[in-house]
Amino acid sequence: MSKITLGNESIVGSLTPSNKKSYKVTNRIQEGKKPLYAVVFNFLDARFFDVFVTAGGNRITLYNCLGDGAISALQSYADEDKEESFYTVSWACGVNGNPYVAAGGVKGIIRVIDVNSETIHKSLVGHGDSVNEIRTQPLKPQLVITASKDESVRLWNVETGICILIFAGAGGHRYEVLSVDFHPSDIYRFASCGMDTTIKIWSMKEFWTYVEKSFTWTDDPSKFPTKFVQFPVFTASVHTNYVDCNRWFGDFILSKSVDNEILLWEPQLKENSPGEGASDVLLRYPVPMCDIWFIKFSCDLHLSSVAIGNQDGKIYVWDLKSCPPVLITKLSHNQSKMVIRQTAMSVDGSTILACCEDGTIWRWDVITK
Amino acid sequence: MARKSIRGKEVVVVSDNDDDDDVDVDVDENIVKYIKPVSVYKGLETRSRYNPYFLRRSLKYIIKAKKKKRSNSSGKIRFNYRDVSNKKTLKAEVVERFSCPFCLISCGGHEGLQLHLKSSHDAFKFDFYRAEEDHGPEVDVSVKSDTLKYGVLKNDVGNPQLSPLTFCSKHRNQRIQRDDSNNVKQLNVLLMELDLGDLPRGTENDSTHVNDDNVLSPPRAHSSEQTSDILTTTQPAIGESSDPKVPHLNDDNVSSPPRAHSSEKNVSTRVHDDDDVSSPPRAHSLEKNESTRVNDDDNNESTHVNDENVTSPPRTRSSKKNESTHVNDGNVSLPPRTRSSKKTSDILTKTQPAIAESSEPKVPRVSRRKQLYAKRYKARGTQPAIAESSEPKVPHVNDDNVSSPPKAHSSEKASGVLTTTQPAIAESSEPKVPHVNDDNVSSTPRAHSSRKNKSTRKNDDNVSSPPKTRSSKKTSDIKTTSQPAKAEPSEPKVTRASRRKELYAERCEAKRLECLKSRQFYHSQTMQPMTLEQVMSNEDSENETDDYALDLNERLRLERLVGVSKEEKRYMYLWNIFVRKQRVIADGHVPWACEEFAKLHKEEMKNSSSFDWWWRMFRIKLWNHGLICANTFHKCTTILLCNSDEAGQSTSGSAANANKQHSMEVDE
Repeated sequence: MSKITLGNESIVGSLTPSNKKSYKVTNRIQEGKKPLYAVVFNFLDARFFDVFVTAGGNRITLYNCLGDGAISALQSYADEDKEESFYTVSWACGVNGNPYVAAGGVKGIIRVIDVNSETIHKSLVGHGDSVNEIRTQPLKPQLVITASKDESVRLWNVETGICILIFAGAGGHRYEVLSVDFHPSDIYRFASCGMDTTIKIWSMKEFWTYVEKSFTWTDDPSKFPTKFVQFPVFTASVHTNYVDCNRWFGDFILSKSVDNEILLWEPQLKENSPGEGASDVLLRYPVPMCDIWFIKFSCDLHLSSVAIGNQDGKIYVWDLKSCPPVLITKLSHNQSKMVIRQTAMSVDGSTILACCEDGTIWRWDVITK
Repeated sequence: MARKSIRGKEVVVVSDNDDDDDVDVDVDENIVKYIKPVSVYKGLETRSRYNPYFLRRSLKYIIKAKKKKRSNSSGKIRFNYRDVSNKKTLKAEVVERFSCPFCLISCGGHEGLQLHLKSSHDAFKFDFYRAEEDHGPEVDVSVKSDTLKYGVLKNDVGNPQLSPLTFCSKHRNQRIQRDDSNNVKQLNVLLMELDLGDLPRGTENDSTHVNDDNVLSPPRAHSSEQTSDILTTTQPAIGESSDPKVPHLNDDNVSSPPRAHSSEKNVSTRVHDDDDVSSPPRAHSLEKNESTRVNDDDNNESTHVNDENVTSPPRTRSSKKNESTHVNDGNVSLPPRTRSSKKTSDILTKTQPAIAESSEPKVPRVSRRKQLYAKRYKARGTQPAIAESSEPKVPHVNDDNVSSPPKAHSSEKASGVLTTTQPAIAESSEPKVPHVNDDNVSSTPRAHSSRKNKSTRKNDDNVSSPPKTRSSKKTSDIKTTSQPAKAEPSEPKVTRASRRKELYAERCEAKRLECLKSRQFYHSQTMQPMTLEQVMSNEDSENETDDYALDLNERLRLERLVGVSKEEKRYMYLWNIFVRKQRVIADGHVPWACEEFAKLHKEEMKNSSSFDWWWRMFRIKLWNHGLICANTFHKCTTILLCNSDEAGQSTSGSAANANKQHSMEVDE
């Protein structure tokens, strides 16, 4: 529970774009009729910084961003079950450095695809309902964490296919978990948010031995002693509605709800007092026409800017480094009228991708002056 | 004078030559009155050889009299049969050994004979006298006028086929028990002669499968009519010796009246207390009907059943189908629960269940007997169909009944077949019901599928009712009983029961394994898919207490405390997890727990003075509350001081002492 004390009000950004940078549409791809729910650049492997993957319908597609706005499709995987609808996808890594793509959707099964061999490496079974987000631990890219509609968050080892930990229980989320994100530097920590309007910060420090055990587990994955973590380190009620995206910003958290804004706030944990703490909202980034849930934002690798789409098909790019918040630019196209579910910024922020409800991918490139 | 010598008797026919023709005719007529129904009495006598209860039953005083040594040397008594009208002796007979000339029963003495004659043959008037001093006693027999008037004699038991007698017996159970051994032996011998080679017989495994069709009797379509016909044919074999199963049943059976009607078979003309006699005949009839699948078991069982079972088939046969059906229906309505103490056929009739439709009136009757039998023996049921009755006995009975001839006859009606086919395995058990179903199905492969379905369905219905009443283990009994090949009748029931149980368990196990292999299973908490070996293994992964997590939670909980030093928290943590793991629950556990805790954490106590301090404070607190005595306190302290070996020994001794002393002692 957060108390906003006097003098600690958050600063709201202005919607007047500064236009420090401007973008133009360089490409537009129509990938079928089904809505695309996720588009993610590969930030793990420097060789593949230009490769991105999209998820929508029962299909996972890899593309390559080429110069001059060209996009080439590299691979496409379709689930044999037509009913499957992938909601999320994430890049992961095998122990040998080979790139994996982990995708999950309404069926609740996470498909780990080895893109080099173009095969399914593992299918992770365990969630009781649809998977809403998959995120990879950048410091140990074999670990992925998944947020599910079954109110739990699970930590998986995609190399061995083991479910290591389950974050659910008495202190867990009480509704769908919509988004998770690893802490950039603290390997044990991650944050999750969901429809119960809370954002919870979890720690797996005490269970790290199990994480390590999962790498060397040779027995059947179902025999692994999966542990339950029932109590988060911190619970914050910053929002009053569904929280559908949260990202770490250093030790701060960027999170958005369905109230047309992104919040930057600081979780103030109390040492040795799990569960207690305060959250201090620092900045607000207004995003107009963004009040349906399952719209996600993305940042570039260095967290200098954040791009978010809205229901009108417009993209707002905010500068994260300035306070008060500054809107860098607002991207719009007269043909882009559909809801933009997710945006993806390239490593340096020069390319912005947007995937829409009508199955289109928009590519915006920065105009270099 | 015509002299006829009949065994044990000398019949002297005296005729008065002076009579004219009319008189002759009259004489003839009059003589007729004295003609005894030899066939009936012969049979009775034969039976009495095997089963003395025949005599005992009706003529108790005779038995008593037998005990007295016969005073008379030969016991010869002369019977003079007089014509009422002219007082002439029509016939004279010398009877030896005080045997009654009419029913051939040997009475114990003169008095016994007198009483017998007066009571049992009250159509005649007897005058007992001694003609002369040195002559033996004589009896003048004359027909009572009443008898002549009302024409009772015409309806006398002259022709068993015309009017079956019904006999009511009160103490059947006792009798049967006593007769078991005898009958068993006899029946064994007889039944073993059956040729079972032709009979398709399911293996044990097969029989254990519910609804298998390969169980039991060869596929025969049994038509009810045929069955009845068959029964009739076989009747004679049995008929002579026995029959009156009907009479027996009367006691219990509601359906007895209908049975009485079955005149066609007329099996029951004779009243037999015992079914023993009937059993051999039944065996014979079984042989005749060899086609029926008679398991050795059944035979054996039937032998056990003996008294009741044996007779039952005939009985069933005799009953008209309609009647029996009727009866069945009536009985069916009765709740299975009544079975416990009742011998009545009620239950039995129920068993007839579905089968009743098809035919088999016999079932009800048979079932009843079986029921009675079942009480004694655990019925093993194979006999299908009738299974409906939840009472164990019922199936039992059915079995018996069924075993008899009907097996031989394939009838379309499954039920009919079933009832008949199931040889007496008689140990009635409730579970028969399910088996019955199977049997039914199996026994009549030839039966029309529709029939099969019908009967099966019916059985199902029936089966469903009994479950409540059924004892758990018996279900398989029915099936299993059929299997035991040549089981000796005297085989301990325990073995059979256990075998049945085993087979039942096997079946259940097989079913369980099948289900387990059918689909993908998941662990309940982690939702991880289970491997087949995990599924098959008996380990339970869901009930484990996660020590690690609990310990962790404890630690976290304690860490949340404010104002408590780290060492204290450490101590509290260690004590709490110790208590949780060792399940120190009662006050009496505490002294032991203290000592063990001290031993366990000796090292830490030695190393950390603060830990030792908190441990001491805690012990003081315990002593304050009276949970430990000063002795224990001291012991704990010494544990730290002494080296481990000594401490172990001393503490074990002191632990015993400490536990004994729970009262607070003032430490001085």
